[in-house]
Amino acid sequence: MPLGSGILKGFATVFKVGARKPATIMYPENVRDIAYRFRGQVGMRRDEVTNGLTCVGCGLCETACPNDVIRVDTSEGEDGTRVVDRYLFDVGRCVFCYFCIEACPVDALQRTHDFHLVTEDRRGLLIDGFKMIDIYEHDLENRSLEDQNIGPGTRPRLWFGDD
Amino acid sequence: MSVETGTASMFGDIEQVSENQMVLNMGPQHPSTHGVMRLLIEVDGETVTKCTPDVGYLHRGVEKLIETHDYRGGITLTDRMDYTAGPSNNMGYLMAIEKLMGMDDEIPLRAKLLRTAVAELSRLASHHIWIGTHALDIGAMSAFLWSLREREKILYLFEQACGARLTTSFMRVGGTGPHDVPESWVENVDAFLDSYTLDELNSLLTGNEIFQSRTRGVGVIPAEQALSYGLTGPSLRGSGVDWDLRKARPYAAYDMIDFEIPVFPEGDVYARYLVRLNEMYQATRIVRQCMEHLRDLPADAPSNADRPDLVPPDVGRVPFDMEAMINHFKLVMHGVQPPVGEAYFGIEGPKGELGYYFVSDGSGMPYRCHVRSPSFVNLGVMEDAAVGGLIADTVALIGSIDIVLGEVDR
Ligand code: SF4
Ligand code: SF4
Repeated sequence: MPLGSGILKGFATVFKVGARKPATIMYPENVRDIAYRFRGQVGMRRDEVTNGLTCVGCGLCETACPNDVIRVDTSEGEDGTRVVDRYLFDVGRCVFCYFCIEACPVDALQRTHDFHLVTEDRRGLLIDGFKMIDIYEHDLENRSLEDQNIGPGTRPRLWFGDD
Repeated sequence: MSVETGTASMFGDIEQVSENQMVLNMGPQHPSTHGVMRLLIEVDGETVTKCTPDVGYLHRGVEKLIETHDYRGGITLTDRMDYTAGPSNNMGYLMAIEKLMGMDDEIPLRAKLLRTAVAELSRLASHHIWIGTHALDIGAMSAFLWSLREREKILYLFEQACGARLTTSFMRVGGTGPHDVPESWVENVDAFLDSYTLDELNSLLTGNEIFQSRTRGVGVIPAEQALSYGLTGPSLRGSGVDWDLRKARPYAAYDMIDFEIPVFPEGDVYARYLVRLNEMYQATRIVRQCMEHLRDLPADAPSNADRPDLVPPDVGRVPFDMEAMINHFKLVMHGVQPPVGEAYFGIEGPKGELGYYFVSDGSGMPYRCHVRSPSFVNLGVMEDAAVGGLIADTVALIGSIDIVLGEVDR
């Protein structure tokens, strides 16, 4: 091959690819599709009966989490049942592995697609269970209905998506 | 004249050691060292007379951290070593644990095929990063942008399969875990393979005279030298040694798959480039065959081993079934508990032999974990291979042995 033909071939490719529609997505205006299984901020389901946290305070998520993100404080209620006093979640330590969601026996913890976690103040990263409910419900509004998790037993393992 | 690590001034870049020689600090913030690594280069004029890699800037103590987590928690740490190929790190880690438990033959075929497919996809993703940054070091900008464009499609496939692009934490001991891929994934991979092309990168770089003159005959590593430094992976096969764990000791589903191992004997930067480029073509072939085999499997083929002591029960049953609840609690609280013993398992990662060594004392946490990371071992050859070349050749050489500093320093 004569000298320079390799470079010319490269130039031809550059022009050919340059004539195509760019693959770039102009982010804040256009957002690419988020896969259904995307692991975003961990959310919490609202309990229909008590209107509070679905969490029963078993502490499995606390154990399963590799990074000590979760802290569940429980006490004994009047009727002898376990009551969740406080559910704390430190978003700054979370790596979004979803081991906690796998561990939760009552599907209290839920997948969300929320990835807007940028903050100027790290104190805001320590959230409680009610904030997680807000995040989950806000996220549900922005997702199609068939993606919703209905509850334990009704549609088992839906949080892993069976699309 | 010997120059020891740290004698060069921390503040000035350059120190004169004699009339003709000086020490040049390349890095730790140099774009062509591919991360935070410092190279202490002693030069005579423009010729390198000594090269000492100084690593450890990114040390996070991953091995020690794995020893403080249960076996499942360690999966999240392996993602963060070679962050260009998360799934293959996960796979090596899990297969070492499975070997420790003596259950390698209990893994169902579906899990094996999926592991093979994601390992090859992550090899593609890793090689895309490599080809882009390597070409960028040598002066080709378009190749970088185009390869990241293709890589993005692969990362989107990972996102569809398990939910994360880079830190995948994919699969569990005993199979795929709860992350069996969605039904549409196989079609998506096929669609990706149909639209995927390497010919653009190939026509941009392979025949390019400038690229060739920067890489041909540069940074030659003879076969004996490669073997004596313990090089593995494409860096070894670029020196003409035909050694690949996928053929030598087939694991996962590689024994069912028809593929070739590209070997080029020249030992220079260009040979290593050709090895990796051909490996990318082979990787697409392997993924396509895996998808065919997956489609042939019956729809209810299991993806987890039939081991209740490893694989959690269907979580939908847990609140309603006492046995399932006990099983679930036991698994989360105590995790996987391999018998007392030790095991080493190496897989052919994108960069070479990626091996995990575990010592178990029978508890839920490893007593000792060691990672044989290919980047760290391959980096050693810099000391010899860079000598006699020019400073610009050193840049090409670093690019061609394909290191990731997250894995070098761990
Ligand atoms: S996603 Fe992972 S790191 Fe985050 S809270 Fe759950 S278990 Fe912990
Ligand atoms: S695993 Fe679920 S129910 Fe148990 S403490 Fe965590 S959130 Fe609550």
